Amino acid sequence: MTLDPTALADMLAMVGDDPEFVSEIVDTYLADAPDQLGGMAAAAAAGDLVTLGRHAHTLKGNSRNVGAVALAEIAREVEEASRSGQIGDAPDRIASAAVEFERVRAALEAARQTGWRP
Amino acid sequence: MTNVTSSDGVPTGEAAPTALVTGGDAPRAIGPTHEAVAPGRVLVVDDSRMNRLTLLRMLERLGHEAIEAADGAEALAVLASGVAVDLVLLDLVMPEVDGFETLAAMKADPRLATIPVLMISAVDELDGVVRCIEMGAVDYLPRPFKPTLLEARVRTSLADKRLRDDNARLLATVERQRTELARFLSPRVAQLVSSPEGEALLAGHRGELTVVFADLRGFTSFCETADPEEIVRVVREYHAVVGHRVTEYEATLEHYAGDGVHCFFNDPVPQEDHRLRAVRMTVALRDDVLALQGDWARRGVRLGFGVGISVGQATTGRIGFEGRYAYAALGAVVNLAARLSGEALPGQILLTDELHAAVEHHVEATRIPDLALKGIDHPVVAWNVAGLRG
Repeated sequence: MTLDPTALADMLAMVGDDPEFVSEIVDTYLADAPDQLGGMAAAAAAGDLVTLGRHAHTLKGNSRNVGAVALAEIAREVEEASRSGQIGDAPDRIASAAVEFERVRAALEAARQTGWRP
Repeated sequence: MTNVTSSDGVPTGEAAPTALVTGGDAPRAIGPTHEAVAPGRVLVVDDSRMNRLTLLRMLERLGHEAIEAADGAEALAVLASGVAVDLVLLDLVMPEVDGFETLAAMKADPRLATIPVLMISAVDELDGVVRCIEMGAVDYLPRPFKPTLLEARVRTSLADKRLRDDNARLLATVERQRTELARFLSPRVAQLVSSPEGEALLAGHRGELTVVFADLRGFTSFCETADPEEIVRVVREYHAVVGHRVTEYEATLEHYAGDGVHCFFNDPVPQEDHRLRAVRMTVALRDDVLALQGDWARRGVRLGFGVGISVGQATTGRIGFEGRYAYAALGAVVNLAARLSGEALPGQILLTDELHAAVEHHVEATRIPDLALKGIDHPVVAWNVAGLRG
């Protein structure tokens, strides 16, 4: 699932039914995720497992918050692999994460149109 | 929907917490309704900008003031700057100084160790969370954040913190009072007043006491003729030796003014040897004053030292009026010791016949001519202590 709509509904409730604030959070997510993806790619290329794991960890958490479950899962796999000392197929996974992120972006923009309500 | 209102909690920071919860855009209580928690200042430490933003807004909605730090180092800098923080929400995985290190640094610093810390963690980081709770974190908040859980955990943590702060303040007050009391009262009475049995003992009780009165002969005329500086110096020297002996022999000091010293034994703490103890203390004190007198004589100061001691039943307890109480002894035995002290010539320690009978195996004493004392309708037998035996 690219986007779990209940996550955004939860967030909306959480911030007192304030769609503008959810927009602010989502904008932050959309602005920061490319940095995390770029950071992951650079770290994987440099063989820096610590930095790779850290960026993957942040992307995982942020993605879960907005309900981007598939992207969060890829990030989790990369984080786990880096923790166990494996670059492995991280570059491939990062590439698929970037693709998945574009889907998430589109889904979030669609959700924005309905005021973040499912 | 109910409005979150500020309760009468103790504000811990310099912020005006009510400003956050008033106005037309008053925050709504989220989740089950319960008593509003007094607003606090919460430090959110997370390297994810998005998480910080989310938590900040949620906390502000709950009426709290939220401040943020992007990693452990920044958080420790904020805390070190002296900003009063009531609660820290701490992410586990952060670059440079992570959650573990931040928590460890806080727990190692006495000024920060009592600030409650709630760990922020993903569900797959529970091992780390357990470690943090072992290190002193109070609880954790799973991500993604659930508003009801956030509200409940923040409320509990702040309430605990306030309770701890109140207790710490109370303890500090008690400690300060104890110190102050020790300064103004005899250490024994100060201890008694602060003890759980204090109230009952202060209420008044009767028992056998050995009562000591001592003062300096010629003190009044000395005060009329000497320089104020010299008077203060002499009194200080005299009080220093008296204070030392009173403490050493564990006497209960009732009154300590100018040249007069009034103390007693066997109360509030029972002393099996109270009779002999009183005599021993005054003999030691007489030696001390004798040493002082040599120095005083070189400065042209001539003062004698006289003592009266009696033993008998008396009532002790709190005597006085609101705002000015003393722990005092009342009874004929007190008057008798005062009168004997008044009759004592310089260097004399006068004992009543009853007291002498109790200590005569340990004390060298000679009987002096019977005394006619004010308020006592028969001649009073008295003994002067030359020294201790053995």
